[in-house]
Amino acid sequence: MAAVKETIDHVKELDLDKYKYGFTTDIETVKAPKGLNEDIVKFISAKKDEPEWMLEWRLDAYERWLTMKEPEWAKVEYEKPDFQDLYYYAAPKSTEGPKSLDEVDPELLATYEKLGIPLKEQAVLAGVEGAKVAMDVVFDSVSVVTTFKEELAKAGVIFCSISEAIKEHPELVKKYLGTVVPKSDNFYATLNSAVFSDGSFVYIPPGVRCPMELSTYFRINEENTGQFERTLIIADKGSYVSYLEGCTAPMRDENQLHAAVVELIALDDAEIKYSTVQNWYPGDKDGKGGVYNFVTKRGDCRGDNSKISWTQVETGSAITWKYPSCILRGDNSQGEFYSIAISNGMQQVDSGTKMIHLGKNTSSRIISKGISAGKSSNTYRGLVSAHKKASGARNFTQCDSLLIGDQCSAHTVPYIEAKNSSATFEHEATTSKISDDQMFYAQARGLNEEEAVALIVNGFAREVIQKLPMEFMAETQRLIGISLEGSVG
Amino acid sequence: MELVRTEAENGLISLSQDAPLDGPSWLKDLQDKARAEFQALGLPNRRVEEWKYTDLKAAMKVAFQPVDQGDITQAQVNELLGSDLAELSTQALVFVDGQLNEGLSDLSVGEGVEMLSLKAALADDVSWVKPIGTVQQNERDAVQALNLVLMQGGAAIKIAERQEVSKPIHLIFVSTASSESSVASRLFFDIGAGANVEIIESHLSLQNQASQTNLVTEVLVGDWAKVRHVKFNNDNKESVHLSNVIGKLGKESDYGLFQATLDGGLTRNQVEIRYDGDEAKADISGVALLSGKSHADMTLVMDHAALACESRELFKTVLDDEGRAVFQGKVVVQPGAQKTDGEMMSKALLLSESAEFDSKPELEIYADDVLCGHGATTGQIDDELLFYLKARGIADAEARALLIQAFVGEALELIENDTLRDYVIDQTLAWYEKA
Repeated sequence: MAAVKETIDHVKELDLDKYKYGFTTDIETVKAPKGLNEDIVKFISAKKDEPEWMLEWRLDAYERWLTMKEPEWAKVEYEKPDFQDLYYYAAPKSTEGPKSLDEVDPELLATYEKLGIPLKEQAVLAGVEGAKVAMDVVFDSVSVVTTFKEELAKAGVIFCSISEAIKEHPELVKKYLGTVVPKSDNFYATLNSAVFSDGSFVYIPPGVRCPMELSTYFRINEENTGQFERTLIIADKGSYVSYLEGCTAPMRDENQLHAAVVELIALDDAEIKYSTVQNWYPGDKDGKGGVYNFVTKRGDCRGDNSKISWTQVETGSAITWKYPSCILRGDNSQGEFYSIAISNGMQQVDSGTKMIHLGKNTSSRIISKGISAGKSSNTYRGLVSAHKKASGARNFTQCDSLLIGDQCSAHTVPYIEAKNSSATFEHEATTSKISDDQMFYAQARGLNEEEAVALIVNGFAREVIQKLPMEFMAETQRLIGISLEGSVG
Repeated sequence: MELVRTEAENGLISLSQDAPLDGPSWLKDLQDKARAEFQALGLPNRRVEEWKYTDLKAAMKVAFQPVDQGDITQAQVNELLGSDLAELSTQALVFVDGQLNEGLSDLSVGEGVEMLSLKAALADDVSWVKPIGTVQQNERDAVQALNLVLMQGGAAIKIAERQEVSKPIHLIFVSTASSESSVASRLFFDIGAGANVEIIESHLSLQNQASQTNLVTEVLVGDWAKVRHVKFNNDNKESVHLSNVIGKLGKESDYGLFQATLDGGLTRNQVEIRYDGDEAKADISGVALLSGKSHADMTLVMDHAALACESRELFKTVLDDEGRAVFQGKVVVQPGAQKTDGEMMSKALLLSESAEFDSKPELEIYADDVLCGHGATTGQIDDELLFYLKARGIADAEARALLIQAFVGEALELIENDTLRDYVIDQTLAWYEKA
């Protein structure tokens, strides 16, 4: 019960300002002019000193983006962003890229300290002794630092910013970039392809088990800035990597746009575990401000016996539009999706996954826990499909929704398509509220209402929390408490 | 932007210029609106979310013409029904090619029951049929709009308050055309408070010709009323059968609808239930057994707008050959519809490599104190069960038939009328033997 106690303690510690990552950092930045046109795309490419092929790739995406329309099928309502009123590039000013942590702007280091992200290599995450986590830190549009690079290099692992990878490992980037999420996949992915500024690149060579957790921390700081990061992870034959992603943004009255693309590629016998704790600023209680989180995440189990596992904890953002998916191409490949999506206040979440079974004897598992409180709307939208040739495809889906308060809503929209008779699909969904019995039980044992809710919700989401890497578990339990604060009474 | 219309759409638009039934001005207004609606919407296609898996625009190449009422004898009707159904003691209304055939129908009305042909009810502007065309609560639907304009006939039935109707009302739709034909009918039921009635619907074809059926059934279920409704269709493999059952439930009422679909060409059974009164109950269930290239679509919306209502859905689908089935079930709980209890289950058994099953069970919930769940499964015959039976000396084909029977049996048990249940079971057994 230690974890529960922790949640309760953290809930207690809270002051009225619920979003504690809402501060801004005053740091000198270089920005591209506002708006989007071909010159901006060229500007970004030039700023990053990119080779010609990359610029052409971006311009092609931009051309296509001009012809596309924003998707409207999701169950979210928001004012569409004005794409000409955004900065597409903002970077902390620095003359040359920092060679080591000592050269990083102290203001930046202080920011991350405040966020609880240790950048010093000797530092360890609070409460987790001996765990080493290599970090790539993305501040607005650029990656500011990547830690433990040398130690990783010894194992043959490439972990760097994508800008660096484009320059240093063009053969890998060329081979894999855009092969999972094609550059004109959807409106936001195409926009990202044109203007992506940074993100992480990971390559795990054959047979290597990555010696430590890899992690990226995204922070939007500047006003009116879109963050368009691009992450590409390749696990070569027989390798394994666990990757964590965290995100926060300051409290701003305007809506900030975050449109990322994440591509995962698992070759034969490889395994990728991708965990996200998304805690972008959700906006205030009246729905003012907050991050628009329009993200395309997709993993390709390209090789036989490969496995991709997505775990996500979604507590932030005003609008979430996110469907981490798995293409199960290799025979016997496996896909997993574990999700907790919490919405409170005026937040709107439309999230879920796609499991596309193409290879033989592929299996997938979806566990989604949606918790909605306040006046929020929380939708699970998912697709499970078995191709004609996907004999022996197997899926189990469970999506449960918990409603707290009578102003919120929860929706479940699963699509299940079986084109193969040997496919076995099971789907179940439930919606319920915290029962009075449960509350009474907890309160009769001396917990107050809020503590009781935190306890029950933690129990409700336990199946997913347990799938998180240890580093994230404690944080998640705490986040659940914070996100639901003020939802009862 | 110029609309590209298909041949079928053009055919339907030209057909819909004149409404076959003459009605009062309120109906004419509704028809004008519906006509414009269909022109704007065209036939539903896969770009329309509700029709994602049933592309009617692509499937319906041409619009068949309605035909005049053909000749058919009571003996022929009985033969089509089969002995079980023919012998079932019911009050039968026979619709031949879309028109109520008064000679074959038993229009003798008992106490508290009024039965009118739709044509007469509208021509006389009978006051209680006024809800026609307005029971539906949901968004615009091109097929329903089309029916409102094109309806040639049907019936309006009113059951008085607290009336126990002793014999089931059997609605028999027979097509006698010797070539392709279309039929658009509408049924309207006004079930009084506390009344109790059983409705049976059969759809039959004399010459086994391709037909296009557009049927809309509107049911107003009064407070405390109990209705049992069984619909059975077994159309020709080239046919298009579009059915809409639109129900509105009063306080503590109880509505049960069971739909059985055997093969057919393209069948869409769409059901929209609106819970208007508190503590109403509905059970919408069915089976679909499809072989060849049959396509059946079961789409339903359970719209909970009152307190403490209950919805139960159980669907079993068996697919052979290139059969394709679609299940789309949506449970909506409107703001304030607390204590809703909803359970939906759809299970499919795929017998062949080329069969396809698409399902989309949805929950849309705006109230917190509810208990709603749905389940959906797709699979094939369990090898272990098959082995168990075969190890006991049961031949492969027989063992399979037994397992299929057990699979659909769970749903068939929901038919309350014994004779009717046995009849449906016999029909399904005949289907397994064929398969």
